[in-house]
Amino acid sequence: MTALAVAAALIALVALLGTAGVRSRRSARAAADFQVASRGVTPWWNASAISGEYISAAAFLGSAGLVLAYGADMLWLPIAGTAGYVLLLAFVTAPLRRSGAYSVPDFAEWRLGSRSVRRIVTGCVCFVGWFYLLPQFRGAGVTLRVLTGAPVWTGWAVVVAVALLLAASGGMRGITAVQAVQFWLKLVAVAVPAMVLLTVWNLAGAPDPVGATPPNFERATRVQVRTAAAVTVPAAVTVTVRGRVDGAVRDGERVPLAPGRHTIGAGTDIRFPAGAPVPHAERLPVQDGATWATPFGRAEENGLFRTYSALLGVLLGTMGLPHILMRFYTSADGAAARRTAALVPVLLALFSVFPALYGTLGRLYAPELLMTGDTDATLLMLPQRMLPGPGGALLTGLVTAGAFAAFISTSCGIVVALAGTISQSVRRRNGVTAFRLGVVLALAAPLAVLPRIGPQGAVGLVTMALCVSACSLCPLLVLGIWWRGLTAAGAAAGLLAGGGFAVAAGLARLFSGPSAGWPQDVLAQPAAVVAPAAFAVMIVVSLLTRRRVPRRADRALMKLHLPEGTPVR
Amino acid sequence: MNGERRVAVTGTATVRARTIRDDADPPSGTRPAERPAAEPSGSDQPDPDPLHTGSPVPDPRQGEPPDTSRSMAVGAAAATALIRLQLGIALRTCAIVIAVVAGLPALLALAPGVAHAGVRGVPLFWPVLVFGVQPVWIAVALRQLRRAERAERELTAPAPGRGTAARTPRREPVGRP
Amino acid sequence: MVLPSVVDVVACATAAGAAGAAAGAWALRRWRGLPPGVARRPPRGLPRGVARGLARGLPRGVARGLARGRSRGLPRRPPADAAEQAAFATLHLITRASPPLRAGLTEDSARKAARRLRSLLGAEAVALVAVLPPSDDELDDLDDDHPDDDHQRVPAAPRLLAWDGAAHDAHAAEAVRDALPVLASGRPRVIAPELMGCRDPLCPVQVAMVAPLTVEGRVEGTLTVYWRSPSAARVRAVGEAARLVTGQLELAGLDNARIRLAEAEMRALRAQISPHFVYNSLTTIASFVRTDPERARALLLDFADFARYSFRNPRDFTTLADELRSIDRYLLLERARFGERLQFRVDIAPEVLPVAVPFLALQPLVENAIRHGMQGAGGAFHISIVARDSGAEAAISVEDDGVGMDPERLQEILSAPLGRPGPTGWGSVATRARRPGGDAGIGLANVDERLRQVYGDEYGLTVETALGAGTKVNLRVPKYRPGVFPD
Repeated sequence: MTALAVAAALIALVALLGTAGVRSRRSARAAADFQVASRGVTPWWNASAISGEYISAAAFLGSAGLVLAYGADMLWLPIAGTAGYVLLLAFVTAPLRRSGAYSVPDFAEWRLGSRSVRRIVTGCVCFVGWFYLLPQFRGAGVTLRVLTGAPVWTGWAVVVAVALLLAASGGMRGITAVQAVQFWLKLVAVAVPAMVLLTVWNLAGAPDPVGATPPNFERATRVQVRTAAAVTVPAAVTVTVRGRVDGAVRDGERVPLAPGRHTIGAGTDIRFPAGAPVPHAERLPVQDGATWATPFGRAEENGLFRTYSALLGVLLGTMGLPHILMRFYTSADGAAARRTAALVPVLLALFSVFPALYGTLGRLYAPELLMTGDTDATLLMLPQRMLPGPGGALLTGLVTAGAFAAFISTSCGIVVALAGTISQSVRRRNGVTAFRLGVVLALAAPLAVLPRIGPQGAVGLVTMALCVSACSLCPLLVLGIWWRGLTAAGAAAGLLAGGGFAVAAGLARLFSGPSAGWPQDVLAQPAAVVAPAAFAVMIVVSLLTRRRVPRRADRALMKLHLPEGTPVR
Repeated sequence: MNGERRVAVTGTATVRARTIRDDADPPSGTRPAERPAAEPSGSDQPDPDPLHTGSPVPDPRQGEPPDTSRSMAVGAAAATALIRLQLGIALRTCAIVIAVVAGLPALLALAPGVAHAGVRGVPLFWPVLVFGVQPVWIAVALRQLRRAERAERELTAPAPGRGTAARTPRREPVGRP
Repeated sequence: MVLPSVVDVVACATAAGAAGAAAGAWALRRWRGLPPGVARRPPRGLPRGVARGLARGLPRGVARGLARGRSRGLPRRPPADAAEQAAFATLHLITRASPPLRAGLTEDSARKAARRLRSLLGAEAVALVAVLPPSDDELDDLDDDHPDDDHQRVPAAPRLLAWDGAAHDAHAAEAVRDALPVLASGRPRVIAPELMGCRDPLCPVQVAMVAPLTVEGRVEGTLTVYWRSPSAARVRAVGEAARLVTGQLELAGLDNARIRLAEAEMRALRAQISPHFVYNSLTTIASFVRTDPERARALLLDFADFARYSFRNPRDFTTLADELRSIDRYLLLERARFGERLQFRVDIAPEVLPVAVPFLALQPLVENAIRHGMQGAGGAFHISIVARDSGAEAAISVEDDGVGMDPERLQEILSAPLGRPGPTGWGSVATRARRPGGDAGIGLANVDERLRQVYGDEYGLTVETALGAGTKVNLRVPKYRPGVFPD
């Protein structure tokens, strides 16, 4: 039944998006319609589209999973994300729109008049986009695996197929409308089940989700482990196993598990009695209720630094997301772009309440995700768990549609942004060919990396992308817009230093597991160190090359900050 | 409609044949759906002056000289002042954001008592983080928007000339048609 | 990735950092230059070496090198003898020295050129003096208006554009004074050590050779080269270098002329749009005055708006939204005239409305479709305007089902020989012959021309047409191109 609901949901999603795309093209036959046809995208609509692109798999699925796994420490991320848009509004949007640049490399070239800086920026944009695509692929894979048991690559294939379809259709028919509709779809897909599940929880007597102990299985639960995993068992428990535990093959025998580390083979079925403590995947912390619910409750080493660094990365990184910045080009002028940016926090705030809610309910009703490590699937599992039967299936279908809207909108946004940026640097070719080439390049890089990276949560991957953007594009934009003294040499040095280090740290983190200690902490969350350093390098080198301040810097700054059409004496 | 062959011509002397789709050209194919067009005989009451219905400016054009820019010319000094002003506004916004983003974790980390405070087992800071901070961002964003727009209006319409001032923010009002 | 910026950083850091260190480095180089056999730059025989290389070794060497490279796919192979090597080095220096001045004589270009000329000539110092009004915005893009009028009034005084090499402090001030006689006479001049009046025996600047830079019969500036001692070969070399610079400046002048011609044609087009249209519109409006005064008034206002758009905007770029608005007015007026016969359909992706397009890039296409396509056709005439978002570009098409055109005829109009990029770059665009009755394609040709000029050759119009089969004009506009803004 769930599969049926999921399939129905996907079909409905495709139909909805198709209609939105077709309807959004403004047609005019009579004179009055012409005015409508030549009216741009309104701030409200564009803000919806931006929020639609921003709420990716990470925000939709990942943050609920993080709250489930780590607790209160993860409530910071939505806060920082929204705050990032406030800074984007304050520092970037209106001037960027007024520059007339379509992509960030355009802006860099226009402002600094240097082709080499343009190339460096293009590189940075590519890395940000690639890092950002990784979690979308992973999210799609996890979703399909959890719901239908299909191998992960089917999810990847869905995303690739959609992106290729987009490229083959020769561009984006009504992409703004499609993205905007997807935002509202996602909001409905997350809000309606939340209301229903809250009611269910209330009817069940509102059990305390926090609890004093680490999470327990509320009732007897069968857990299927699909991929081999190592788990930490918090307290002794006796379970029924069909499969391989600690290297021994069992066939429906009762096995006592002592507290500590155990390995479970792929395809093993484990049956837990009601009230049994939940084993945790090795990389997840085992926390009792109070620790889980308290910020910094785990007293981690350098916890404050990690939090600050992640916050700074998200905060500044939001300013440099290429697909978001490109959306502002659609606004009619700088003022409209600014209004658009001011509306985005409103929309994101609507959305940000829900992950915490789902994470909390997940601790109560879907704790086995802590064992399998698929915490990203919290949102998908909860409806079936709390509401078995057709109601649950219906809600699951809705959530699935939202999840797919999340992958599709964000991946399409990034793929379009990357392809647009890449196609600009292969100018020899025909525009459509170059665009298609760009799409292929944008998809190929993450696909090549994807099978080789270890287990990573969607949010971790997104913060990595944001960190690269915070350390490279953000300083460029902020200084380029507000400081006339920025030189091409300064920008290039800052981009190479900041972007280079952030990319290196990201790659190192991708291919190595999590670990502790200062160097690893800096490597895991480099933004707090690297972003200020990138700013500093840009400023210092620009001051050293003061003689090379572009001669048009003053005029450029005026163009950035004066409203369009203001004559300058 | 017409099964002829068109030929594609570009300036660079490449000529390639083009076969026309059989379902006729878009202009002619869409004909049945068209609205009745305006007629010279003057039976178009419902659409008297379509051009000006879209514009929220009532009709101030008649009295104006043919070439009015939106506002007065701005001197370099005024422009620099505007940039300074906008930077000030943006930095103040940034200060608020940083204060909140940096202050809350510090408060919770350095004063664990605050973090543990709670009502009936629910830590107090949980709802604050989930529900309390986002409205602050909305307020800060709207404040930033208002101030930045006001700064621009004051620059471009320093005189009491209402007519020009009313035109500056004339892009679509917030809201979706 | 290319990292010239890092090199720049280092270079600038040293330059800004320590004048003393720079002086030290100079001393070092001079000291190392003293032993005659070891010198890496040929101390005296350079001009002769250059001449010989150019006369003999070079053509053979180049030809051989090219043949080798092509046949075996070996891009690089050291030339056989020293003469060839010198020739290659010289050729390289020459090609490097030329490009900066292609932008005209500005401080920026002069600074770069002076540096390269000095290494080409192996001189102690090189100075470029020009008789130009001070100008700040040569490098600025199309988005600036051209308030050149102010500059014209500044009296033209010779000034030192660039000094590259040693003894800047001691002699730079005299460079203009030394150049004055040459600027007046237009003849080269050698200033002997006695006349230089340098008291410092160690000063490398002992002799100056001043060559005029004569562009189209006017002395625009001088090239002054300073040596330690005079020689006939050096005099000749300076003369040749001045000729090289002059050649580049002449090309720069041609570039400017081309831009001015394009502007002139733009203005002409703007003025030319209307005669028929103005007449027809006014007649139509007049016919409404009695029967439907309300409508006549509305149409008159539309006409005024249309005219205002066409004449007012002095800048070269506008947004697609504005261009569409102008087309809307145009179509309204034409519909008043043709009534039910003229049907149109507009299909616009809202995403592309803010795209910057050259002013009047679409309107002539629509006008062309109506003026030409409706000729002789009795029935309804459909025109459809479609703009789609396609990645980093907007794809726009104007299609009609009118009488169409003979493709060969259109080809002829579009690819008229003038205005195509020839071997020496762009030719004139203004002198396209207007054939009687060949009116149809002129609007197309003009738009085509301007698109190519602004965006590059691959962005020309594509026209699909045949006699009796209607016409479809496709154009692509990149969302961003350096210097293209709806300012």
